[in-house]
Amino acid sequence: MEEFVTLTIDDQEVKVKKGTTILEAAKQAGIDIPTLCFLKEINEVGDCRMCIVEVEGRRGFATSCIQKAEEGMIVHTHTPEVLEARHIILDLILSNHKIECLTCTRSGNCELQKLAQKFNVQKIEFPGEMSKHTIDDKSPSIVRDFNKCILCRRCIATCKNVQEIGAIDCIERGFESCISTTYDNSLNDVDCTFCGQCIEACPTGALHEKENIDDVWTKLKDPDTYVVVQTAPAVRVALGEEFDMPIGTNVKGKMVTALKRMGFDKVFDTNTGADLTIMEEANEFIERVQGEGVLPMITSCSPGWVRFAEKNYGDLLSHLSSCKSPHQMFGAVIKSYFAEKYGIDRNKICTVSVMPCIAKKYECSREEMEVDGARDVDYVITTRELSRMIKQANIDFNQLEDNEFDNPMGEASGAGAIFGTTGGVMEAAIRTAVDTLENKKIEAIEYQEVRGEKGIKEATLNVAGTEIKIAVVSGLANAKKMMEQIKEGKSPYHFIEIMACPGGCVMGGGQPIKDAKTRASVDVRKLRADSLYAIDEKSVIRKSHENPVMKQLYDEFFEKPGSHMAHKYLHTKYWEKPKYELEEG
Amino acid sequence: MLEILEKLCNGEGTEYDIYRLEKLAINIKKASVCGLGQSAPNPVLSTLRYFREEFKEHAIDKKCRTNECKKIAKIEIDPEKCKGCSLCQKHCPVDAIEGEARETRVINQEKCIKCGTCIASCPFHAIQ
Amino acid sequence: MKTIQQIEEIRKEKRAELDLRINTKSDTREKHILVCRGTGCTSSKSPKIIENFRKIIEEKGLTNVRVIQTGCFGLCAKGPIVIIRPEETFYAHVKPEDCEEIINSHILEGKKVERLLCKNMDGKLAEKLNELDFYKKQKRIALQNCGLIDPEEIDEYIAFDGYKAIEKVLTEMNQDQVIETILNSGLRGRGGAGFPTGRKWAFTKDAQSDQKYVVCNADEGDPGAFMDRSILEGDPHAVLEAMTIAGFAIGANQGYIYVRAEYPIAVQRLKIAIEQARQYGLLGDNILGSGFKFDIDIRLGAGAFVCGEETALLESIEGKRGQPRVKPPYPATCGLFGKPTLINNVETLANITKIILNGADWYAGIGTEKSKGTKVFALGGNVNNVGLVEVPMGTTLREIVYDIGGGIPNDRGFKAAQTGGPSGGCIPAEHLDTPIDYESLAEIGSMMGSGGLIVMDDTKCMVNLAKFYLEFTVAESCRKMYTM
Repeated sequence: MEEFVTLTIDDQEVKVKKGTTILEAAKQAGIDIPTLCFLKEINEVGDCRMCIVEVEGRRGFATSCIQKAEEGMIVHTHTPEVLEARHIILDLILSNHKIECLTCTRSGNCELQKLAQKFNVQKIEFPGEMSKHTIDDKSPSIVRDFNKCILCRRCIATCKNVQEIGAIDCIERGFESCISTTYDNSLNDVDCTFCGQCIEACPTGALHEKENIDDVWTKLKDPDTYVVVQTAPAVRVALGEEFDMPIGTNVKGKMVTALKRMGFDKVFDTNTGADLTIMEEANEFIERVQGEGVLPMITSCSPGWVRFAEKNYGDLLSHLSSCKSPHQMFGAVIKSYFAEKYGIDRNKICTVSVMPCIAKKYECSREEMEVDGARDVDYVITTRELSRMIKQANIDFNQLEDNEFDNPMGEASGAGAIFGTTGGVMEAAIRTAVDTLENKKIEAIEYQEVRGEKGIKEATLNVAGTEIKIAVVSGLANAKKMMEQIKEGKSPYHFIEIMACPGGCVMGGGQPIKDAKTRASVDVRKLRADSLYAIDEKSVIRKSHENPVMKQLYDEFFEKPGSHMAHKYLHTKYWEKPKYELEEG
Repeated sequence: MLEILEKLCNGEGTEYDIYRLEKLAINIKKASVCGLGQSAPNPVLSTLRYFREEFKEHAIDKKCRTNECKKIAKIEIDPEKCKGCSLCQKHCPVDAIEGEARETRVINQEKCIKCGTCIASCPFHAIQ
Repeated sequence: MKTIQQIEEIRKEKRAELDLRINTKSDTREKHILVCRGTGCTSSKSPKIIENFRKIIEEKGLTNVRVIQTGCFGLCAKGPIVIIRPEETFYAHVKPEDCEEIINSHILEGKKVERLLCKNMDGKLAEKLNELDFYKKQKRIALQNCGLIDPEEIDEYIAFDGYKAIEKVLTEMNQDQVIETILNSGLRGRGGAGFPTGRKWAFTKDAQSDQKYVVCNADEGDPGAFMDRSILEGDPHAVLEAMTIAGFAIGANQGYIYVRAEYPIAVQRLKIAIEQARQYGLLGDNILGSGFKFDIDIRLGAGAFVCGEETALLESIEGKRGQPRVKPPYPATCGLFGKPTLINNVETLANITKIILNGADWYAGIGTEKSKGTKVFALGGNVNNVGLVEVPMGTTLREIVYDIGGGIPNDRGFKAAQTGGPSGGCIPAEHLDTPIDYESLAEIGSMMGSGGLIVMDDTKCMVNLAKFYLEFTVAESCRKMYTM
């Protein structure tokens, strides 16, 4: 029996389920109590004091984001006392925030800025000493500016409770308190995996990606450089959000047009690279199943996951597929096959990947990601960075016509498209592996068991008489569970897909940031993922191995999956890395 | 709150600062998470309640009547009590005391570093 | 492992042996020289005094003279303190060099060393402890054993009704009766908030869980406060026994004492006391054959004032950053490791055994209508008799500052008294006649706090005082709410 309670908020009667907080009850009544530190189910700590309300009969104010509604409660959310207190609180938060709105990457999408506007803050009543911390921009992926931090601890909650990494926490005491890493080292030198989930959680500009916008513009303006761009599947279903389109709108056509207008010489599709990854990975999997190499095999296209594995499970790295990730493979192809075939000097080619991910910036900078002296991918920019570049180029995105990716190599299967969501890589791989093992074309190619939001999904397939157990995992907390199982020798699986970001790449650290209110009421992951599945459904070619580009690549260059040429360009190695590389002293 | 108090003790505060201090203290008391935060403004609120005059002196007159706040402390020799014995002058580490022979001594406020040595050395308790 | 019988035997025997400690009319030939080994006197060389006494006694072969280390006597301004029993002679400012004279003159010749005696405010010498103005208005309940027994000897504790309360509880009372007794006594939390202790015990007892905890808050972060320190140093068993009683009452088997690491003597004495209690079976399985089991472990603080706040303290024990949790839920329902937890201050606990033995009515008969019992204050600042005092609730501030505290030195005027440390407020001269109790203090803008009472004369700047306390609070802030 569901129990309900009735309470009054701002003279409105509201009936809610028992256990609902005042904040949620207010929302039901159409009352929008301001919050800053509240992140539903991740960070519910009552730190920022913005949500305080008056409850009749109680001393002081109640914290509405935590306080549960009780029968007969009378709540007031904007009495003069509450407003004065809230105003002072906001003032105090702003007084220690480096106000750089004009030049901050979050301007326009900053929760603090929105509150300041909502409360018509015109001057800081209580200016005072401000924190002076050096900005941590040592890593290739992420930049940490504590001077903008408002100590809401949403990042800590995400890193500690959602991802279960715990690379950052609150250190020191008193005015010196700040959010940092072990002994205040750079994120680059500790157990941070660059998954970027903290950026998605941060309400201000305290955390953001290391930008490569200027680098890319420089290359684009250079007449001598042949700039090639490729875009990940997850980008096209999120980019539109930066232009006020509904979440999950597929803007592939406009995106391609925009990229062309920006001056890229070729605009390719990472989905094609994904197909290539499937060719190699399915082949590798079949080889392992047939006896060569350890099982379970684990996907390796998520660089945040790879970094996590190298730092924490260095002795189990042989489980990772030796395949490079799609954009790295594709980059390698561009600088070899494509350059040769179309007579372009490979040293003059600059490959740029647009990714939903900040760990890819780290990935493309890894030493081994090059062949014969040419980096597979020169620069990675995030979905957010691309949107800024489009705006900088004065392109009115919403008015653009649609265009297709460039040929050659412009075709990609539906299987490549679903890489962007958790379960997508697995489904794509199964489609190819099953056809290969069964030696026929299987019609039922949608595997619902690996779709959806659960952190760990499993399925058992019967392929050519063999039972194959698969698992699909997203979020590093779940990755840990898988690895512990493998460590104890108890893993029942043959093939595991692991994505560092909960929900897969559509929820990556480089995607448009959604504020806490949106995250609490909208299933962003589902909207974006469904859009990718829709692309797959509408695709004519839905299996990687049926993509004619694949035939072309293998016939003309790689010979066959797993060949010597394939290994030279499309495969990589991993090394155990120390968890901490701290500076002395 | 601390910064406003520091301003007051340094002689840089204004009467408006007293108002701001009180407003801040009252609201922090109401909006805090735990008992420590709720009671942290108590020393401010109670001293304001009973010794508001002293706050005003700090803010408006830039004076600290006990001379504890060194930046605005003012050490003066009471001419009625001073016997001109010159002990204070001899003890002053920066030669800030003026006067000769049996003259009433006077402290040069520009030179004075408010160390209080003269107060301790005066046998007639003529220095405040 | 001792049975109730055996403990009772120790009690009888030891009580007779130590009768001279409280009976000035004792006709024994024995002399006990009690030397304060609280932190204050220890840092003024009292260990050397003890050493010297023992050496001289051995040299002279005085088999009837014993030297005993005790907890704080309270009159810290006059330390190191030595008290000779049974005559109750109170020697102050004793130096190690004085030991020879005390033995020769006082012990051997029966002549008191006058220069080491204290003068009262009327100028007359106070020969005995209870002749001192300082003690006349005090009522030592929580500090009962401080200065009476050697805190490192469990038998001395037992002698003066130690571990009798737990015996009574385990043999004659049930949980509800214990809680009702505490409730009726009117005891309120001595850590500062003043929440009715009995009610807190009742809430924790009512919470349903497979595991509950009793936690003693010995973090004592207020600058200038040393009440809890003195209790732990002078009478640690009282705290252990009280925690065991609390465990029984609420249904817990595990207790933790969270003591700040800056109290090494207290930690040492606690460790010894716990070990001794375990040896006698007064902690552990099957206490006194009742089937009830309870054990206590020590957890050290790491220098954070904020960990004196009960939920921050729990976070610290759990190994996390010491920052407070939002309440509700309260620790009584969701505390340590999410289990119902009873957290009490040291001084609160120190009253428990006396309440159990003497009854709720006895305790409720002391103090005012809403604030029962006594309160320990750490008297400091511009006052003559700096030290530890315990007075019945309702005693006025004037009595504490002037009658007990001996007034303000150098004939300066009283400006204000600060109670409650950085969480409290100041009380000006116009309120000197305010009775000290929870409600009256709150009305005039201050609070009881944990017991720190700092007196200020007219040389103190009040703006600077506010600044001083804020400096402390800012440095100690956990910044969970970053608005500070």
